[in-house]
Amino acid sequence: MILSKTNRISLHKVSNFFRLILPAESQNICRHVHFKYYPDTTSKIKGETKEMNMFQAINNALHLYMEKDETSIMFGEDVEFGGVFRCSMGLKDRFGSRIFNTPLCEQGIAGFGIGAAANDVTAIAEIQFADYIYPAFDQLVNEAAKYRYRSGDQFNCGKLTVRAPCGAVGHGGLYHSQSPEAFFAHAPGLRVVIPRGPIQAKGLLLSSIEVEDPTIFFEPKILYRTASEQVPVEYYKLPLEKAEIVREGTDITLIAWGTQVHVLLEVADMAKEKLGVSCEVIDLRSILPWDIETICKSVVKTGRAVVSHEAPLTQGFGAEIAATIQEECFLNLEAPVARVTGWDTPFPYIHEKHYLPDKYRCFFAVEDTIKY
Amino acid sequence: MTYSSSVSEAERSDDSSVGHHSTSDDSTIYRDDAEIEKYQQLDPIRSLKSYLKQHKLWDESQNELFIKATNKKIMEAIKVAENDSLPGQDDIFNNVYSAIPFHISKQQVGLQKYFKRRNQLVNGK
Repeated sequence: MILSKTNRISLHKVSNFFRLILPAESQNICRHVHFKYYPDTTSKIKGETKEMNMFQAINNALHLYMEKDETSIMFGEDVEFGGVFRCSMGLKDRFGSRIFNTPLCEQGIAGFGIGAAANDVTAIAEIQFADYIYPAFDQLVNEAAKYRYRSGDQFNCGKLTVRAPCGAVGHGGLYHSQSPEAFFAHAPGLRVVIPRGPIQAKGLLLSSIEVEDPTIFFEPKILYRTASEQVPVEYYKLPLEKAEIVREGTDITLIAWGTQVHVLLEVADMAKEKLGVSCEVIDLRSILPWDIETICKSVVKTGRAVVSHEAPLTQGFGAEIAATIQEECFLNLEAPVARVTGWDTPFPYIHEKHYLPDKYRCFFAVEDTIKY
Repeated sequence: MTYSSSVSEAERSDDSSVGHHSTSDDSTIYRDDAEIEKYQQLDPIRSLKSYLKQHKLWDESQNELFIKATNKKIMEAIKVAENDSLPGQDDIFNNVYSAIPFHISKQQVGLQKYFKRRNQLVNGK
């Protein structure tokens, strides 16, 4: 990674600035990590690899993309010095005016990105926290999502990608922990993508930037530092709209995305050990459009399904998945589809560990579904 | 960086009501001093204060008394909060609405069942 002089000086100070939000440097000293990280060791991408955590993998993807595409620009609040999560480190020094800070105005960031993308500029916007994407909701849902449709494909803003850190981080409270994917999954025309670790983040981000549709790329912020893997150094892409079976199994299908995939992998271990149950764990990866085929084929095979996400239950994306499974796999189902999610409350600060669908809550859902 | 309107000891001494994003933020590292100074001049609290002073509705002694009294109030509130006990587990569902609706009370029951079951699984009782 390329670090600018100013970045080297500022790193320590700025890390203090966000010490309350950022997980610490290593997993051991990170407060309240509620899951065990399962590194991706089965990646099929060939070539040289390097150990990277998720923010480094994202930074690497941005460097590679901006080098490749001279029309690309990257902007957002405080991105010039590297961004509060370091994802844009070194970009300013290397690409100069193509990287720039914006005012604290998410609606403006999204609107500017749409305009740039519509004029054939590859626009990569950063919203500092997914919790603060709501001022941009109108631009994204009313403008970005409809741009191609309303002009009968005369115009589009497919070159827009909006990155935003999402999800629980152990101590983020109401405004630094939310997972707003379901809001955007209700807007036809948008793509919503969430990676589960560094290898996925790099490949999915490059696909998201390249794809000719406006894409919202949510990055589970607890993974920026807690997740480390051998990431291929080359430019590579991973397929959008394709879920990945991260562990094959025969008795029950467990579906999640982002951090929650790791919770379910641990649940699969617990279910094997305590119940002798074989779980198939699927990472949805792309929330919209989503891979109905992989999910339903798995449920036809297993006859049981549990969907889990951090966002609240009511109108969470789990509801869409459960309804579709019910439609497509009704005669194969041995039990109702279970949803294990955050409660229908704002994301609580003190009660985070009781709010999150932890491994025990998910395990009980597996047990109940198996014994139904 | 966001300019907050919190009034700290240091900021008061140089008669400025703006500060850095948090106590651990030092924005001089990544902002020009001139830029910071420019936005301090635009601080709406400062502008309001000088407007009120201009119209003889506010003066320095009133200002000092006000800041002193407000700081005292805040310190007392912090003390009360620090000595208060943490909210109970069930508190998670309170105050979402004026009264807990049915679908949330179902989840409340779910959380209690979960506590019992987890206790059984982890501690065998």
